[in-house]
Amino acid sequence: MTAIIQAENLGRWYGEVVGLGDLTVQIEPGITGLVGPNGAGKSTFMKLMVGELRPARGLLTVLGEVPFGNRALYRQLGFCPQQDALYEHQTGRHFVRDLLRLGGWSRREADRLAVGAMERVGLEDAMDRKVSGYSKGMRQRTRLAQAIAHGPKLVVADEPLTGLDPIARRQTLDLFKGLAEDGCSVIISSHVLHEVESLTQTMVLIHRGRLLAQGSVREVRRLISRHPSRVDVIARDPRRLASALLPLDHIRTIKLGDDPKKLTVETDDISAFHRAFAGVAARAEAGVTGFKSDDASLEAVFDYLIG
Amino acid sequence: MSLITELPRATWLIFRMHLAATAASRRALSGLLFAAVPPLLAFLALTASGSGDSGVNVFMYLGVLVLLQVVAPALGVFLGIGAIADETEARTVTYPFTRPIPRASVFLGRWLASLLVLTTLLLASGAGMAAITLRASDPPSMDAVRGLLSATLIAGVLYSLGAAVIGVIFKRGQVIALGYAFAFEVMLANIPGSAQKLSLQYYLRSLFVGSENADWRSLAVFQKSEFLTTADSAERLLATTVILLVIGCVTVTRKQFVLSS
Repeated sequence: MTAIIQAENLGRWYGEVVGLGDLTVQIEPGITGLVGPNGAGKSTFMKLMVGELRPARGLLTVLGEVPFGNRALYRQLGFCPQQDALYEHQTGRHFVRDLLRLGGWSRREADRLAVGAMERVGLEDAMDRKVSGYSKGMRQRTRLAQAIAHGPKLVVADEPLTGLDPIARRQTLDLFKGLAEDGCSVIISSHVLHEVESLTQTMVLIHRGRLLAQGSVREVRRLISRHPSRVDVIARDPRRLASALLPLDHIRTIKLGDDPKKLTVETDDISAFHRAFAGVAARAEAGVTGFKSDDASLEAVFDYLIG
Repeated sequence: MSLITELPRATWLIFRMHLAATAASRRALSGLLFAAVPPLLAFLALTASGSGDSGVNVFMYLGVLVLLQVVAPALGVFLGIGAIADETEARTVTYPFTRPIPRASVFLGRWLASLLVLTTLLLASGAGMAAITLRASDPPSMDAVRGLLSATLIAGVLYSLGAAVIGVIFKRGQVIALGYAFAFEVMLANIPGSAQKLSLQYYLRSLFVGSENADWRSLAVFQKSEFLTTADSAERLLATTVILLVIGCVTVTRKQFVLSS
């Protein structure tokens, strides 16, 4: 299989700050999760992939082409940036349509494709409203719509699930799966491991601008299995919830802290915990009002991995 | 599609995409207030003050010292600077830059949208001032009006283009552009001697002072200066425009715009 992304000793600095250190990686077609803690270099890598930046050193090819300023490549590429920026004076539909027109589509065809893309991201009812009135999740989906509207071979999406509610998150994950079924490759970045895990089995882990691990989720999980994930839960009756959670075999510890409504759970299998939690909490009737999955402890996992 | 055919097409699309937003922007709305200053001053000078100034005097002094030397550069900088700088500040530049279009078209399209708004404001300002002074005693000749309005529009082109280029090159371009227009230019343009030739104002003034119309020569501000002919100054201003366009297009094509997430 030909790699869609080939990076060799890729480096990019912002003044004295290292965005990407020395990254050598190959990414095959399909859905790939680019995972790493905040500041790992994911966004820099993606900006290099789409030609927003040029490498300071090393080589990078995307679909066999050098990306910076490569107009032929941009026809095959869709980019959903992380930054929450749109042309505020436009409607969602016009935003996507006008960007399509830059790709050479006629007005009528661009409009048809824009409507299709907005429908695909679930914004058909809002597409004729100005984007300045959109919620954060709608703005995220509009960014996604412009990335997929022209039927690219490769979609690069930087933290595309951030700001989405659970339903929109599920729709977006389904959208990515649908794109992959249509033969489009997708690279999505996230700092939340289980988020990517629900989408793909192929992952690239980067940390401090370097490749840390690459392979299937199972391989990566095996690497980090000895490191527990932590979840903070706010509940009306945390003791009752703790009793209900303790029998789960992947629970390592449960701590009741100074805050009478908070408990902290350490688990060896965060995915299993996520799957089981809602049911357990409902049966225990503990009145859960807050839940914070500390997959930001991914940072700790990475620190653990690099020793 | 080749660059030659793609550049004008994409420039036109970018121009259309941004024209309405540019016209309704805060920059343009503040520009509208600024553009109202010359007609207002002309009205005050001719009616409210009761000084009995002749129309031609008011038109020429306000035209040169306010419209051409202050309003045109100020509006040019305010509207021109945003061509690329607004896109990078709003972090939207990613979208056009990841489309199969020449990057230069983003610069050109956005600058042209600003230019259309700018020229509309300058024309309204100059025409308003002319309309008021033409109704006064001893009105300016139509030649003088045409000469000044043409120079003002050309000033708009040059200052906005210069500001747009500065906005592409520097992060805090507005301060630099304003510094250039109001410190460097004003000083050079108004001190006698050959240093005037380092300012755009010298060539803009040459456009109409160098013409056959003798009215301009009667202004004290011009009496100690030697001006180029209209054709020579036009040639130099055209060359400056072309150079600025090339610098802007090449820079935007090669430069990496680092956006915060």
